Amino acid sequence: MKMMNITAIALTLLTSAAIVQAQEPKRIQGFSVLLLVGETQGAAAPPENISAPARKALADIKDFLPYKRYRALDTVWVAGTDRGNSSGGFRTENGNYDFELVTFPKDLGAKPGTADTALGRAKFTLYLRRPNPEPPGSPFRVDAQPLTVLNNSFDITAGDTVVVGTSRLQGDTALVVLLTAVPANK
Amino acid sequence: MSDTLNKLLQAADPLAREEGLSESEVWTLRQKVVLAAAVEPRPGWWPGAVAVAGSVAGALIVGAVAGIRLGPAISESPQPAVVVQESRQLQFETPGGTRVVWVLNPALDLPKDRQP
Repeated sequence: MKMMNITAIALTLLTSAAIVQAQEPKRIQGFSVLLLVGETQGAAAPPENISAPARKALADIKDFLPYKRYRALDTVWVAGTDRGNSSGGFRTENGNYDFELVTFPKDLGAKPGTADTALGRAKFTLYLRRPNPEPPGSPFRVDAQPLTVLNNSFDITAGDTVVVGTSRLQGDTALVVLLTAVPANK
Repeated sequence: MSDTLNKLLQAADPLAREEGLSESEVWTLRQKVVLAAAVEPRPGWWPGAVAVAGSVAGALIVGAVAGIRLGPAISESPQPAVVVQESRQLQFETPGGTRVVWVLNPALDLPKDRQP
């Protein structure tokens, strides 16, 4: 009888711990941001040296987009939270890009510690730095305004990889960003 | 209080004590009014209407002259030299669960590869 009581108490404690863990929101450690160029020409081959979530995302979109291959231009890791701003830049042979990432919880009015404070939405903006034709030090050199290439809002949760891309309607190249929300390790 | 005030007002009314007009006086007055209305020539034109018409005509003439001197009016807002092509956004999710946000931008001009 005593043994049964101890077992029941242990089971109750384990169940409570599991419920608390399930209700605890999944926190974000940061974001992996991968910049690629998609091309309709050339042999189909996955880009090298990309993360497993990015590889899976590219495999998922293979049948939905007309690009045969993707070339990774640069990867950036930015620390981030469920609610905040992050920024970074890509330095590529095709030009320099800057990005801003704003993250929002699922419910802006949620109480701290509840599941609704977890990451739910993000706004990603990508700028292309315009090349300046004047050499450095020239009196005619004026910093050109960056060109906004992407400016999108979308749903995202911890562990998700979202593909954000742009192209012409029948263009043979596309600029693609893979944004992965990396959850914090427990 | 109000009764007293009414009585005071009635007492002060000068017409209250006057006798009314006799029947012959009423008939005479009526005949005078009717006769005056019939004899008085009705004006064929109204001076006020002439003034308004004159003002309108003057304004039209001034406008026409100004239009001739200034030449044709400048046309509506100038047409933009470049037709703005709007981009469109698509959002969908693949069966594998990957969310895709795609922007179709007709004006997109990606930098070309820099070959060594």
